Amino acid sequence: MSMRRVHLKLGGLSCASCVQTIETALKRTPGIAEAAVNFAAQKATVTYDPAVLDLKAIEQAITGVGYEVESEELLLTVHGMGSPHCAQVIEQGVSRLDGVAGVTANFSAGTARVSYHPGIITPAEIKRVIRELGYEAEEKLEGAAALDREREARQREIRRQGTYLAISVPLSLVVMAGTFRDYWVLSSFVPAFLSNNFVLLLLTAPIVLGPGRQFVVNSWNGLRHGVTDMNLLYATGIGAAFLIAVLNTFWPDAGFGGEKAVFYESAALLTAFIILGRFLEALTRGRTSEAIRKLMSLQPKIARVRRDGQDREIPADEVLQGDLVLVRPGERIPVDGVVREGYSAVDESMLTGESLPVEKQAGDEVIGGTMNKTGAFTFEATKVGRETALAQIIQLVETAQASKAPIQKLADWVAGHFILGVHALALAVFVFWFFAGYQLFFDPSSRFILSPAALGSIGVFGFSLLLSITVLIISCPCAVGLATPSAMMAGTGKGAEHGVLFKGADAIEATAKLHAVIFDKTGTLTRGEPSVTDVVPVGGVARDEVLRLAAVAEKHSEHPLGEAIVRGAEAAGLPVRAAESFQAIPGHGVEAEAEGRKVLLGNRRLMAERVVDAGPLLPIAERLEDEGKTAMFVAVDGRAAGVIAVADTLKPYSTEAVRLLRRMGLEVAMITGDNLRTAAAIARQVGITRVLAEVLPEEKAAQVRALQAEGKRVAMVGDGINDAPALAAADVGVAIGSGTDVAKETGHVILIKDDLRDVVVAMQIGRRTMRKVRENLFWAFIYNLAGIPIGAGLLYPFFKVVVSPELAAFFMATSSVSVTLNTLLLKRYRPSIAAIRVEGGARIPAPTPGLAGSGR
Amino acid sequence: MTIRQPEATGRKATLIYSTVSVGAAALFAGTSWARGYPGVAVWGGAAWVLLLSFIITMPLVSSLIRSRQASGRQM
Repeated sequence: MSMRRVHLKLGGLSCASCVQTIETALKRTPGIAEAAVNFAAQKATVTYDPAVLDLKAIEQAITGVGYEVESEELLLTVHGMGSPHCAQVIEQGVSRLDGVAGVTANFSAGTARVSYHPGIITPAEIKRVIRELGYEAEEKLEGAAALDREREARQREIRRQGTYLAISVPLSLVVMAGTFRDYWVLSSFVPAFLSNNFVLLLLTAPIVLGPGRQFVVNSWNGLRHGVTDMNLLYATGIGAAFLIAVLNTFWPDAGFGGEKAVFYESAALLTAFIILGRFLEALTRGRTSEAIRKLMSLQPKIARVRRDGQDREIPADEVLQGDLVLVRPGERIPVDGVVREGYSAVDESMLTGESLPVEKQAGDEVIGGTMNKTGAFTFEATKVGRETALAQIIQLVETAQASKAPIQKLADWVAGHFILGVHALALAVFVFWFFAGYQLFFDPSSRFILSPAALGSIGVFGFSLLLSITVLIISCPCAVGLATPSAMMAGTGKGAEHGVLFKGADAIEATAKLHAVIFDKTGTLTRGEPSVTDVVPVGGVARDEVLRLAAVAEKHSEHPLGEAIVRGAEAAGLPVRAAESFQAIPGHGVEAEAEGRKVLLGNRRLMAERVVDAGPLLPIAERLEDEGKTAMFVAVDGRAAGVIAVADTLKPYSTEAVRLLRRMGLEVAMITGDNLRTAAAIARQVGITRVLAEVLPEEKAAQVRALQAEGKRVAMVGDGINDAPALAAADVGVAIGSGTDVAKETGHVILIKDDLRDVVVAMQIGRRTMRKVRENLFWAFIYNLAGIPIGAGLLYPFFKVVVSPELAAFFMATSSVSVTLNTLLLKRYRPSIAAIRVEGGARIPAPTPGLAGSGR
Repeated sequence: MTIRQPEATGRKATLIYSTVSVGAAALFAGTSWARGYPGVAVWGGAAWVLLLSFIITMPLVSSLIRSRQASGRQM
């Protein structure tokens, strides 16, 4: 059974409990294996079996519980339609595609309008299919704005709630001033007519029936499908307050407290505060998904390609693999490829976080979306469309943002079940105060907290209803829906900004909880290829001369150690000519004749066989071997000349990364297949005390599990392909230096750059994000938890004060404000390493191969 | 394929939660009437109890019936 995963854009989600409703509906649908809905992203990620159901059935499951699946629209100009039949051909051909929700082709206008789900199919694929049907299709210019449609939708919601806020806040303030005209000094500047109940009704009705209408409509939509959501709390609260006020206005003797017990200000302020919360939510949602929009904006719209010897400009998504693409200074690179001609420096910071421009010449890879700085060049497109690094990164970030951390699942469950609990509590509060509380404790002189209004002659029903409504409002955990996902989205976005890709919200949560980090040695902590580390001359021979002669002797060698010596000499600027004669002596070394001198390079046995006195070299060689290096003896004309040590050297920043991780309180270990002596030497250099040596590649996962068995949560940092089993076994697998092949990587966290300090960046972002999540959950619940007993009238018997519904609504809005502001603070966060990197960007030393410590 | 519950199940759920809610409201009205509460309080209170009871029982009963039906189908 092959499962398929899709991301669907949802519409109509208004609170955290909607998440639970949709997930339940999807999970109940046969053929759906997994469903996760992210309230902040307004997206559903569904894993389903295409053999059992299709997309339409998934859509039906969502629409069946009162929500919408939103699709994008693509407007195409189609050339070559000769008759209305052609329009039918296009409609039939395109509508069969998976991810296409609808298509209308218009023969006379020469256009096709396609509704599609962007998580499943792309405009380029739709255009390709139309071309395969025998027509030419190009996106109409207005279609280019499709990228920003999501932003527009969000902006629309912000504008809508902003308009509601602009209506409800001033009117509510006027209603409040009118209601409390008789208190304090208000009577001196508030006109008397404003305190008239009919005027208050006229002022409140537009708020309740205008901006407040959305709560009634949304809760009715939910109720029709048998689900309750937070809108219902608002609708019942606002509706009941308004209804009592109207009853007391028209029939003051009906027993609801009389004309002094109108609650217009409650209904008005309640609506205003809830809308303030909604406005802030819309604002936060827009801000947290900025990372994706930023990434999308990197994709240039136009590419200049050379086809049939002619340069032409085409839409970037129509570049084909193998096309020669021309890039001028200051232009963005449209797709991934390999430079064929020209030379330039390219700013890759937007994708890798690397602050310095990277030089590019023939044979170098370029990444789509990066900025060409100085020169012009031509490159061959190797990856186009969904295959480009940028497209993969966007996909990965989108998936991560739509995913759900374990802590969020708990919060969603609480929010989903809270509504019922709150209504049950409101019923209990009503029944208690109706049958017992009012008779036992009611005092007509009692007041609302922080309000001059007295309860006066309010009857048993009015009083009990008031407390019941207050409980409904004060208990509403409306901020909980945003608390976790908004922080997670901000965290994944922040990671992407620094070249750290979290594959899901669970990866962030797991990263924040780590106890230990295991680094693979070869290729991760070290470069993975030998380099010359030491050149120690003896007998008065110059150090450079020893290295140069050894390199000349090894010039034609294909042995990795020989190659390392040649590279080392070249890096030191020494001329390496070819030897006059060369002979490899298997298992021993080489013998060569260069510039009329006989050069021997090899191990002890070679020296012994050729009767060279290696005595002066032995203590040097032993010391170097104790450091985990391979020592090679050099003899010139039958006399010992020096020792050259070769070893796998540390990558730049390995030591710094390990030091910082230890400072963060993490245990750092190293795993390698090397012998213990070599491993220990590298571990000493890098500052690691726990070494897991002589571990075969297939045993690495077992070692990770052994560490986990000690009760530790373990991260494994390694090469995403070779170390795949160990990365998968770890709580967090960190694949390092994947460059452009992001999608192929195993691991929960992917580092685009080959810089070990990004492991620290990942840990810092993970920890900071989880701290934000915990803070947000605290702010989301604290007002409710503290407010419920007070709202239910627990203080009333002792202090004769109750919380007014509008104060309850104010508490609720405060929790939304706290969560929103707290999440937005994460956007300003910068990992300490990133700050150092930018400040010190210009002085990052280029790693010199070998020669560290040479000449000792 | 459809995810909507069969009509019979829906009707059964509606019948149950309506009965429970109306019963709760009637119990409230009866008790308050017997204790001599004013008419507005009796009927207003009963309406509020009915509304809250509907809101509480509707999703509970619907989901209970649906899950029973699902487990019955599996057996």
